[in-house]
Amino acid sequence: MRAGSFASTGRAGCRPALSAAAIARRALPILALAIPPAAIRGAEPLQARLDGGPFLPYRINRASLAADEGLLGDLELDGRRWDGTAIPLFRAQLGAQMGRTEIAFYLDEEVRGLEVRLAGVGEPRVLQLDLTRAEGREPPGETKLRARMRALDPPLRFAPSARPPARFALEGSDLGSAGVRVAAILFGVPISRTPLIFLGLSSLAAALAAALPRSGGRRSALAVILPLAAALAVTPLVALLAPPPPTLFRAAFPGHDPSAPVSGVLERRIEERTDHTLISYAASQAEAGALAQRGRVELVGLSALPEQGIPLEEVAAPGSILRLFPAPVVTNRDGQLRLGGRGFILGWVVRHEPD
Amino acid sequence: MNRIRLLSRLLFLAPLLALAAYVGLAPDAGLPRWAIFTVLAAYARLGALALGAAGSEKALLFAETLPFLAYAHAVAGREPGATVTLSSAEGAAAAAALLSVEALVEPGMGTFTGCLVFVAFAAGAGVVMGSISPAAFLAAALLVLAGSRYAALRRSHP
Repeated sequence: MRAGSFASTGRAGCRPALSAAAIARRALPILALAIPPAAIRGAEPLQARLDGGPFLPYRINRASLAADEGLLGDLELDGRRWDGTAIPLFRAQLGAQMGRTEIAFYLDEEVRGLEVRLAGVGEPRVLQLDLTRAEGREPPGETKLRARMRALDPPLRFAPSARPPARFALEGSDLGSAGVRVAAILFGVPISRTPLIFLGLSSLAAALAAALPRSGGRRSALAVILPLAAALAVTPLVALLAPPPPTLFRAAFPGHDPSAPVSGVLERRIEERTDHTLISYAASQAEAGALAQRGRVELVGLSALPEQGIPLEEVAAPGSILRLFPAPVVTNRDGQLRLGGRGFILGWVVRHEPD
Repeated sequence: MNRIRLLSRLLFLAPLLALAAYVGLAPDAGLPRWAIFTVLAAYARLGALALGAAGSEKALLFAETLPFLAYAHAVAGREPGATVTLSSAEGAAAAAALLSVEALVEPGMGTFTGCLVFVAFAAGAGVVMGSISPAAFLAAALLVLAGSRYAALRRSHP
């Protein structure tokens, strides 16, 4: 990744060179149109600017979208990968006309551009930002940080256990192997068994109805009504009880050096929050609450749809460096930023930037 | 009580129960809606063929898979409660429309080839289900259902 490739630049059509000091300033306006938006899906250009930056990978970046003509409607921010695919990064519904709105989004090194789409009255309008055209030098320590985060691959998650243990022993393996075991054994989303009971009862009713005596080869009225009524009664119950609740998993690995073998015993704590369940594993009570240790690494897992979302501060404290897969969708609900996604999101959070 | 029919029905529903229990172990697959509907419609149609079900008996078999459709949308499809209800309604309407058209074209139990054609149309309906709004899909399915029932009525009472 070229140094400083995500740093901000000047206005469209006029891109002055930036010094390192200018990069460090956080209030630079960013407006770069790499591809005419009208060429994409017949969209009109969005006359707006994206303030903030530099936009860096492995962080939750915060920016401010401002437009003189006002912003109203469904706001979407997508990332464009090197192969052209778009990934959703931010979603918000702007119910009232506003001149400026806050945006937050996660970036990794595969995203080459950003596309802001505003759909409201009339044709959708699009603002595009080519991140690879940004100029300037990257912040100090960025190369080392990115190398470190590249080494922290989010583990694959195979058939998570339905009954995770309350205590889990780390066997002195490296962090990557420990992450795979933790994700497979401990990060199982709790599923209610009650819907299965209703499905069983409905099936039993259907089987009994099928076995009832018939006259002239045709079912009696009861033999038709019973399975129908059971199916129609159980379906809404299943719809109500079956969807798994939003869940955040955290496993804090003891020690400060991610390259060293990890050992010890992780103990589970379950906390029912207002809108999600937090299941955390840590070596001790002190570890679970201690967020001030430099370079501490946590494996996090999110099971939450974008419309549900888990508060951003619960997943990653301000200043954290993180690598998540797939990229989460950030939503803004009642002024609170939340993370969610269609599938299970898994990744690493380094609580503070290492030296 | 007819034990054979009881066992046959349990044999039809037991794999669905087992699959539901298994799916509960891997709840965040994020399966697309068209896949969920197609798999269940195919299973119900082939099961009806195996059980020799025709007419209303076939329709009842489909109705009995409706709770499993809801469960699959909720757990494997990771949809919230309200969306699950809507998806189930769309699935029920699509199945009713497909069965009604099939009864018009190939009355009775049907053939294995007919089953495959049914599954292909079910897959198409699943794709359409994911592409248009629920209201539009429900309206289209009910239109197809009403039209095929009217055609069947005209055929039986010329």
